[in-house]
Amino acid sequence: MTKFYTNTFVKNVEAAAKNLAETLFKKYTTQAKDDTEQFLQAAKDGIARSALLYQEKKIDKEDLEDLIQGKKDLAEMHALKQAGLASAAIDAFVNGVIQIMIDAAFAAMKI
Amino acid sequence: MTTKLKHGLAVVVAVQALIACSTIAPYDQTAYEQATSTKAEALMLMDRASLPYGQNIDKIDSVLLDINKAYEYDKGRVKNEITISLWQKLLNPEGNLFGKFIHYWKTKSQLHPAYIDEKKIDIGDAFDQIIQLEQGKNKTGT
Repeated sequence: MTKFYTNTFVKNVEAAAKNLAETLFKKYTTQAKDDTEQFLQAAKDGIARSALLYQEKKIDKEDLEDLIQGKKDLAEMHALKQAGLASAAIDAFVNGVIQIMIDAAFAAMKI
Repeated sequence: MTTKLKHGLAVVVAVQALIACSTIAPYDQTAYEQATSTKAEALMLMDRASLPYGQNIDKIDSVLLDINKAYEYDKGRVKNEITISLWQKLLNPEGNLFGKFIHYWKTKSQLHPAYIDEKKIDIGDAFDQIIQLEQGKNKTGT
């Protein structure tokens, strides 16, 4: 006769899912923060370099405007990428929970 | 039906329901390779922009064809809207990245080397967003 220990199943799933969420989303948050900081620094440096090139007459006004506006499009691309990576992290979490549920279900079944 | 079988079926149903909820396309090696190779082609082409546009039409067409193949490949993938948006930002001639660069080159015929060097940094970073997103997608296919 098979017995299913529901409380054990729920407790095991909760604990493992919490642990998985902490690991996965902490990694995602750290990467997103680092990426944003690096982009902002690179954009700031790029605009400063472009302004200097314009002062030195190595580029014209139209070039300078294009280089500055390019940062806006790049910022949007960084944000889109982060949205995509967040979706991938959510999918990874869901898949991880599935595996946790399967393992916990078998562990909670005693013959 | 035994209790064990019932529980097994319940888990299978739950698993299938969750799998159906994936929010973004899985990792695709071909898409990754196309994004990295077209990045290299685009940056090499940009180096030629200090020369007249008219002397580079064959090269420009060839690179644009490869980039459009990569874009069309990504367009054909399910749940890949974010990557498609990234390509569209990169290729929009009215935007400020690669599509605009080609248009700008055609308009001005030749571009300042210092401008090209600075623009290459941004275009490289733009391609990197597509590449890094592909790398970050889940490898399992679910």
